[in-house]
Amino acid sequence: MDEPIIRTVDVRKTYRVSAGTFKGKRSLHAVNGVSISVKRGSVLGLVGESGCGKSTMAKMILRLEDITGGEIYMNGKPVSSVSRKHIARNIQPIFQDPYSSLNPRKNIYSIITLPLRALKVDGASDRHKQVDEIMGVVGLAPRLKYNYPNQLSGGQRQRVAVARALIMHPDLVLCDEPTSALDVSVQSQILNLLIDLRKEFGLTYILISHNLAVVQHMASRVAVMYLGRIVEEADTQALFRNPRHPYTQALLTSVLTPNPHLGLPETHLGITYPNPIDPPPGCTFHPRCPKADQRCSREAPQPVVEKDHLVECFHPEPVS
Amino acid sequence: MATSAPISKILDAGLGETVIFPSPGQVIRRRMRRHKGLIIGGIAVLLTFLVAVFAPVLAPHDPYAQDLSKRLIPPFWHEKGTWDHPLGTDNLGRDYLSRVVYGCRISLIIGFSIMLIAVTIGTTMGILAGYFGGTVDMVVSFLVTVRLALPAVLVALAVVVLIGGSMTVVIVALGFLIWARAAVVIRASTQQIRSQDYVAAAQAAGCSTIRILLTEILPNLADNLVVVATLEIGRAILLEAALSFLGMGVQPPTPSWGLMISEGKEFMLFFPYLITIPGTALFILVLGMNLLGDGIRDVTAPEGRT
Repeated sequence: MDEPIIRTVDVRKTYRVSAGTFKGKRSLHAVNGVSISVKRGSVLGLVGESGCGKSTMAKMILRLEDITGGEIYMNGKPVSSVSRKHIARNIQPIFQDPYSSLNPRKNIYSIITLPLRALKVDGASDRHKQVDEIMGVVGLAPRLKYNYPNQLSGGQRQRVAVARALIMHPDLVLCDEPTSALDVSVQSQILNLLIDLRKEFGLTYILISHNLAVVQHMASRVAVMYLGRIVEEADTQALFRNPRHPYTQALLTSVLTPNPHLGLPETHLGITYPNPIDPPPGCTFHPRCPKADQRCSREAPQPVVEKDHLVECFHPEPVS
Repeated sequence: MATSAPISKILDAGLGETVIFPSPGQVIRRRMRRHKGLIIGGIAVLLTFLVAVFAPVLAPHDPYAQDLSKRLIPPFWHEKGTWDHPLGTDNLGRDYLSRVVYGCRISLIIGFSIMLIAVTIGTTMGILAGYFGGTVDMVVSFLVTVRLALPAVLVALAVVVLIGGSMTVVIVALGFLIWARAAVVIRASTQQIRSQDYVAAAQAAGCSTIRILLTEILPNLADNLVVVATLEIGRAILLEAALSFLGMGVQPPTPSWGLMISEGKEFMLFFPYLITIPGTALFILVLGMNLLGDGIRDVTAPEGRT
């Protein structure tokens, strides 16, 4: 069994935030002990509500944020020991909003070649060939090379972002909500492009999304995050067929159906997402959980793995 | 707005749809043609600039040549005026038109030099504070507050009294005094740009911090910089005139407009043109600079205020 591309061990990120004037600073545990591993060639879907720590996780993997606790291993080496340039060579991001991820003052050619120039990759002479090639791969007409981002549509911009991420041929591409800022008609084009590119280049993806349909479509394994912790992790098929954690079940029932007569799905979640500065005691999910009892509000559950299906709950559904 | 839109490019999205766009340059040029303030300001500044460049050709006399037999000749519209000295002469018999024309040079040189110093300092401080935040931001914000608490003219006066007045002293003293506004503006814009994903993308691509500051952030500050620079030139020219008027700026016999007003004030009641002529020149140039700066801001603003 070869070493996973990314393995995180009990990773934590704590921000010091001011709780209000004269109240001093308090800790916000954005990511509170996350251990995941991503195998070469697989797609890990990371799902959860806004504010659960998905994007912080992504930023730490990219080393855009420092880790406050735990360690991330890239190909077996702790990332704190390797340079940012080394990480850049192996991990590249695709961001959510293609209107903010492309520098409006640069043309497409210099946006795509930025990683090459930043890492001082040799062969300045055939950069044009490389760019033409990668633009062809992501489906951009070569004549757009000297256009500026504001002359492109949202879908084209996201293709440019994909091309920039792939020009270094990284091992891992970290897609942070790659389609949620796009029109519905363009979303599937970008998703299919990502799927094709994975086959073509043998890429590994971490796919961060709150769109369960996207995750089901693309991911081989799914991790569900809640308030900075992984509450359930399993292979995609197993997780969607047999969600064990009450939160995952609620997430799955919250997916809207195209039939308007069915109304809004009942999730039993209530509306309030807890304040991450002041998380509930015990299991952080218990105030919203239909199965919660006395124990849930006192003790925090520990992750339990059964048949490769991790769940962090005192009352999980049994593995089918 | 789209009625006479020139179609510059037809982009094939590669997805089957065809999109028609005016280029960014065309949009800005179209907005410029419709912005009256920008055009008036631009013409005023351009004319002053041309006068400064062609001063030797335009000036009928040597601005320093004194002729005491021709003291205080009034301008041409006055009944005693002559066309030999269209704007008259001052109390030492120097041709007033020539002095006003050469004054353009002094004003523009001083304005540009002070602006260069101030904007360089202000941009550096603003970018560092906006990008790094935290302690750096605290230090810069403190310096800005301290600087804003000092009245620029008063400090400049003190410096000139200590060192002695000359053009260089005025330029350096004022340049080191009026950077605060540039720093505040650039800091705010940098904070905004810093949170854009393209900065994160550049970091993730392995760019060094200095490279990010110079190639990702600075170019996106260009619009703001032009606006701040233009407005600062106007302010610098006024400050120089004020200092010269108080006798603590450019020293005689240099034809500085502020100095000319100062020298003319003793004769104000009987020869008001000695003050009104350089005053008008100053007014036109500073107004033009401000109109130009405001206009550039309007034209380059993303939402396109017109």
